[in-house]
Amino acid sequence: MTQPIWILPALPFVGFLVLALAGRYLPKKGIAATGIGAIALSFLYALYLGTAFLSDPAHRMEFTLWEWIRIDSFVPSLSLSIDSLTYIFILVITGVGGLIHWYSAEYMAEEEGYARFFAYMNLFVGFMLTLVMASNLLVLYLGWEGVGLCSYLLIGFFYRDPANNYAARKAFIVTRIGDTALLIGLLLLIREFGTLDIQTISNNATSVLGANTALATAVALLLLGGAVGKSAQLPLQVWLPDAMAGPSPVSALIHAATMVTAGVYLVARTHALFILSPLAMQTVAIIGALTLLIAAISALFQYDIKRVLAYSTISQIGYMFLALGVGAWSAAIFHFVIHAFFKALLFLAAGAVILALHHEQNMFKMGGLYKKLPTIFWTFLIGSLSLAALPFISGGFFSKDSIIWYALASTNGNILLWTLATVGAFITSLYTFRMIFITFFGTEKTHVHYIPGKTMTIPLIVLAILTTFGGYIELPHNIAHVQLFSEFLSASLPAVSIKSTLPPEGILQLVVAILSLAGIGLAYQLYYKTEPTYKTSPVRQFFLQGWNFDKLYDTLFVRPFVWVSKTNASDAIDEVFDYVGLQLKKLGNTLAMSINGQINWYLASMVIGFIILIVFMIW
Amino acid sequence: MILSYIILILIAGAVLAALTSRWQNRLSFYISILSQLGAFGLALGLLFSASHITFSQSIYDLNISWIPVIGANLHLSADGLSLLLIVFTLFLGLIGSWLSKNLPQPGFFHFQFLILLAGINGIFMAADLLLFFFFWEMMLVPMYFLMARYRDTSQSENTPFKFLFYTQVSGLIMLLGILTLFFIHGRQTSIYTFELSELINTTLPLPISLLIMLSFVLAFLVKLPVIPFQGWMPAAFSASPLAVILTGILVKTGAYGILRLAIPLFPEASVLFAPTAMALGVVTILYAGFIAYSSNDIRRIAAYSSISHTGFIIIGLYAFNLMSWQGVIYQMIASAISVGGLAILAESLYTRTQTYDITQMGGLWSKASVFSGFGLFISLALLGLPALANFVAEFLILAGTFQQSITVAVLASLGIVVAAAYSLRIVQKVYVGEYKGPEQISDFTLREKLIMGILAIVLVVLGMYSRPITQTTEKMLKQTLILDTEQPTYQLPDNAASVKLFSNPQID
Repeated sequence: MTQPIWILPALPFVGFLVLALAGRYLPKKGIAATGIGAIALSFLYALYLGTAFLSDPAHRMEFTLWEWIRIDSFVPSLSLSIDSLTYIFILVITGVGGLIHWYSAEYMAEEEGYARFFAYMNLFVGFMLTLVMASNLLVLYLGWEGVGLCSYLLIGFFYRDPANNYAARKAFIVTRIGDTALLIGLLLLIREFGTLDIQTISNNATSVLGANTALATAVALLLLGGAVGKSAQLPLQVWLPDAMAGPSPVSALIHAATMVTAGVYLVARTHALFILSPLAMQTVAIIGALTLLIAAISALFQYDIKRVLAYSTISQIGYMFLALGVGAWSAAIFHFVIHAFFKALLFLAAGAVILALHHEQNMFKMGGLYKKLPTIFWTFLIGSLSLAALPFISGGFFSKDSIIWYALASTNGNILLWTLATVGAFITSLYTFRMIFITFFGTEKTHVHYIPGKTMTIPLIVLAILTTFGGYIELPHNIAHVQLFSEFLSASLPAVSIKSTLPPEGILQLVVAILSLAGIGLAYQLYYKTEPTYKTSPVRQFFLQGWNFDKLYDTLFVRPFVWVSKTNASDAIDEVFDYVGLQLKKLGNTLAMSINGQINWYLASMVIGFIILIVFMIW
Repeated sequence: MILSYIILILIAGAVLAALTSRWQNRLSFYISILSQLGAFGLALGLLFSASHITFSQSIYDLNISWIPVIGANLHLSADGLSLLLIVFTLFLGLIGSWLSKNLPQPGFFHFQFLILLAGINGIFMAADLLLFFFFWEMMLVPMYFLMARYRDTSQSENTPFKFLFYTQVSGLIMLLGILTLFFIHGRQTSIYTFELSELINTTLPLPISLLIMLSFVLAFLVKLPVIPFQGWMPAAFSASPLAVILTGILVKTGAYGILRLAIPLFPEASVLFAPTAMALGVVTILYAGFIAYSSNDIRRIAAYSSISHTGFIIIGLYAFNLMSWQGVIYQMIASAISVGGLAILAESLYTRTQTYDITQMGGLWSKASVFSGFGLFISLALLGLPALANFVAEFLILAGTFQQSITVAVLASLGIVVAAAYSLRIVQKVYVGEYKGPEQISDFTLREKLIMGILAIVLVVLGMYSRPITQTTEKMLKQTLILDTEQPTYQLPDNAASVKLFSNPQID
């Protein structure tokens, strides 16, 4: 029997429609119930569907709604499918997404536009589910643009401040540059395959594109263009730090469950195309390694707690790209899952802090909060331990450790990638604990005026549990033979191929573990022992602003575009014609006069003309 | 006879509306609506009844001798494409009349408006070149009068003249082309006729064929309009609120003319012209998109957005394949609805704020959320968000064009980024930010909600389900594609292998 899996994305879409059309007539409780309920039902239905996967990870469900377009034999349908890879994404999107919705019920309670908020959030989840369930790249593109739209709407949610709208527009346009690359990639696939069905393309990839050809590389790089846009990787990472303009739950949703992970999903989903091009794979790995380091260094110089987290997202997604690039597919997805838990946790906890301090986001004005907000502190700490990848007691350790290992051990890996990833791990734990010490320790600088209630803290606790214990489903194989996660994914993603001669894994793990502990130790020295103060210098400024990519792009692209556009705002071609017209008019003044003056005559002659026409027609 | 009834009902409605307005203004409005509904119903019925059979054959309807001396016939015929465009024209016409309910001098207005509709529908039915030209002129004159009478008095009074000048000069050149073709064909076969199906068989030396084709295409490019003939359009958009709706309908005749006349009559010349046309298309997309970004008058943004959409139409037409042609037809409809929607918003804004300048607005969302919601929706349609009709149009055009020229498709796709920039700028300036308008501002009235709601539904339905359009026009387009049996080949600069013209994309 075919399962009606379209219900999964349909529920959030219905939630959106109800809230958008009737939201103004609903009480706040009704709004929250609709918004949360739609996601919760979707999650429960996903759990129900999961029983089939427990017995058989290679299970695959499909459902075709209707033909979207039909041009001869090119027939992209609105068809959805679920395999183990998609299933994991669905659980994270609806599960973590649902917790974020729940939390928002309290967080947004005092804000204007309660219904609008939940409507957009539901729409976001709906499009994200469409994206991961698409069995056809055109449907994927529909979800892809849809999440772009929702991030635009939510980043600019507090629409009265023009800065927020600017950030929203920047996010949309920057990601759209990537989307256009993706679209061109789709056009190329249509030309080569005559279809956009993902399975057909994957099955015939080798025969149509050929291994290691320029064509295969072009396809993979175009898809990668889309992926780096959505996932905020080099060189299109600039939109994400500004995306902090949205409410904190939105950041949690964008960074953990939706949007930025779309790029990771796309590369994993089309792995059959990437495998064909070693050059493209290498590009993915290098982009990942560079991004993780660049973003981690930027995170070290931020003063806004949400911007620290934003750069950490860019950096952590960099780890996922690194894993994808070295062919460690399931390691990338595993890190996606663990990252979704701890990043949602960190953003929601940071949101609680910000709310408690009356919308203060500057860490240097916080301090000493661990006593006042114990629940928030402990959950935030648990999330941070994962981010810093503290050995054994955090999920982040297991997921990140395997990526760092494969950066060297995979046949595509090398010592350079490993070094970058390892240095990144050190900086990560340094900036993470810099954030912890500055925010929660030291002297209290801003008074706590609101203690978050249960609606906010319960999701935090749930996420904290998931973060800590989620890691145990996949352990490094030199420690114990527990690989539930990669076994589950083995039907969707190929296994990583390992070099034959390698240094002992244990020693390398030890190096990484020591470095991440050293990062914490250094942070303790720098930011706990002495009262932290925020200093500025040209170098700090450079990193604070994310290596000045914004300025670079502004000079290279934005200004020239605006300049050209403004210079020709009056349409030069039209003006030339106008000038010629003016001269002509001067010459033929009589003609112009007769046309302007004798409307009645024209009318009469027209009527006569039509009468003649009618006579002819009847005759 | 049904086809001629459509035109006759409109003309009869025009005369009646003009007459009744002498004693009762309301009555002329209702007569106008009634005659349009009648024509709309007929066309819709024809479309539905015909779609049960097939569109491989045209519905030949009326064919009687018109001016026997020169072999001109009153020959009306329609196939799927014609009917689709007729239905759609009448649909937009109804929306336009509904919007214009309170204009002064309704008798004059409805007379001109119905004659205009009759002319446009005539173009879609004409199977005789002289008749085509007759309808072509028939639609321009009332358009001029409407623009002249209902223009925005703050604007230069030259604008209606500008429109007339552009279209008349190019129309005159087309007439010369038609006559040349007529005489050449007559001399060759000693049958002097304007019948399209006969003239298609004329054998022309390539240079002559190129010249005649250019005389046709010039008129169509001006009408669309394509850079550098775009000047009349922003002028027309700022001349009259109504002009925008009208223009949405009007410009589609240009694309139709290329598809129905220029390409079938002069296939080889069209192939030669294709690289130029594609270059013009790309320039149009970007040039107009850039200006749209820097314009502050919302009507001017609508105009340049429409011109930018036209660029897609041109490259799609000259990519000569089924996918891009389906996209062109999609674009004709989607662009008219979305740009029309923006124009309606512009008018709604003007009645509330007394300005068209978007820099004078802001934060409308806090005062009129339904209004702003629709405004956001139209902007999203303009920037080609998937799930809305404009996306299907642009996607099909780009996918079809990509088969012929990667360079053109890639350059054109940059237009999508530019479209995002100018569409979101409207949102940024008008709906969000700090509120700047007058103290008291009302949200959408019921009429505005209904009109925008209908447009939105059409955009979503066509965006998610393409069958109503693709199935209706498929047969006609395929016939045109295989029209030329010699299969001339043409080469665009970046294509290594020359592509066979009129062959469908290799898709299996």
